[in-house]
Amino acid sequence: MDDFAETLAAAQGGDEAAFTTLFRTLNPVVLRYLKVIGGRGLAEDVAAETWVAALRNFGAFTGDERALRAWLLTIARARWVDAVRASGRRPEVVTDSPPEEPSADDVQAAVELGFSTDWALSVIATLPPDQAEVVTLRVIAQLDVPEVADLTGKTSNHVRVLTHRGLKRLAELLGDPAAV
Amino acid sequence: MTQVPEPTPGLDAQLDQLLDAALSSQPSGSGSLTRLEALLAAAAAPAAGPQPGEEQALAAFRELVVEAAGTPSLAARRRRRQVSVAAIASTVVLFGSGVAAAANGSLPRAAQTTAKTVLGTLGVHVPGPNVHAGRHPDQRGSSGDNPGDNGVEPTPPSHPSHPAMPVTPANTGTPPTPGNSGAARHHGNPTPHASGHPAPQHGRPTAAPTVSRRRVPTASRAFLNLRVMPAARRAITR
Repeated sequence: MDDFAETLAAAQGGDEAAFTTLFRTLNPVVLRYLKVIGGRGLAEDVAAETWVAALRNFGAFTGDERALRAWLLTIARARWVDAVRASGRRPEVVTDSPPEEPSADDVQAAVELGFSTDWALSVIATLPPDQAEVVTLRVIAQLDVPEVADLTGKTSNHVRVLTHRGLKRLAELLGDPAAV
Repeated sequence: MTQVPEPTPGLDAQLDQLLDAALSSQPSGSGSLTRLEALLAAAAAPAAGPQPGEEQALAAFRELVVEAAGTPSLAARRRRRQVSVAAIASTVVLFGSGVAAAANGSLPRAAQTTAKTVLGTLGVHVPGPNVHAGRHPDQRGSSGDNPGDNGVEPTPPSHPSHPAMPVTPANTGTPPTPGNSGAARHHGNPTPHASGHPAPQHGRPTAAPTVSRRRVPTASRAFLNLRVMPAARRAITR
């Protein structure tokens, strides 16, 4: 975002237009992350709770756009864990039945039509939860290895390995020549 | 602990390259991972227009941020309250010490007259200017002549040339405000200490006043007795 510092300062001062700009830039990242780790059912509710929690301390936030993104995703992750625990389920098990991997035909169709965001997220969500989360944070949220490690509570080396495994698996699913 | 195998060279290098490209929103130039690259680009594509939950987020923003931006922070409110309390306390102390000085008639003539007029409207009786009060601060009247009838203890006369004994609010029964030693400044007097008036040291007996008296040596006293008594006896027996 251009002039992020100005936009942030204006939003913290109560400027609705500035806040709307921030929201429209950052909410897609939060929503997509929650869709991958928590499924579509929980994503929008938890995203709303994330923003309310963030707004309580919004005035005190200092940092750049990347730091704000990491902060929001940290809150989102905590809210997601709370929501899953409240529903009586273990956070590690996102769904009772993992989403089905796309068939070769599905992939071909998507290639011809062009990958949509929703389809891309659904493919990433078929990965094992740890890999799906790390790939989402690295690629969609564009956080670096130490930031992802802090957010997920993993070591940097583990984050690197999970990222590689996840990307490799995706390449295999998609039938990329390098992975086959 | 889960075994973490070493990443495979070759493909991993390509993945790193692809990842770097994805993070910088640039094409990787890799010909063998095109579908993966396209997938990642689609997953990270920017969204345009209103977002789901935007109205609720704006409502929360108005409640939590806009209103908070208009009201002072808790720390600011606390500081403002402390300043107000200190200002009120200073005013009370100043007023009290001024009333005390007026009650003693120790203000200069003009000030005493004004104080008598103003305080009189408030129902507080203070004496008029002392007959001995002059226009010069050195010619202030004696406070002992007009003790005042408002129950305020008379204070010792304060004199600018004796800064060690200024008028202090402690003498009027009003406790000084901590850290507000400037409140009792009067008529150019230096800022007094909290208890600028010398006070007896409790627990120690005060020294007995010494009277200058010539002591008669014992031997001379005996001599006087010998000389005086026979003369007194002769006077009595005459």
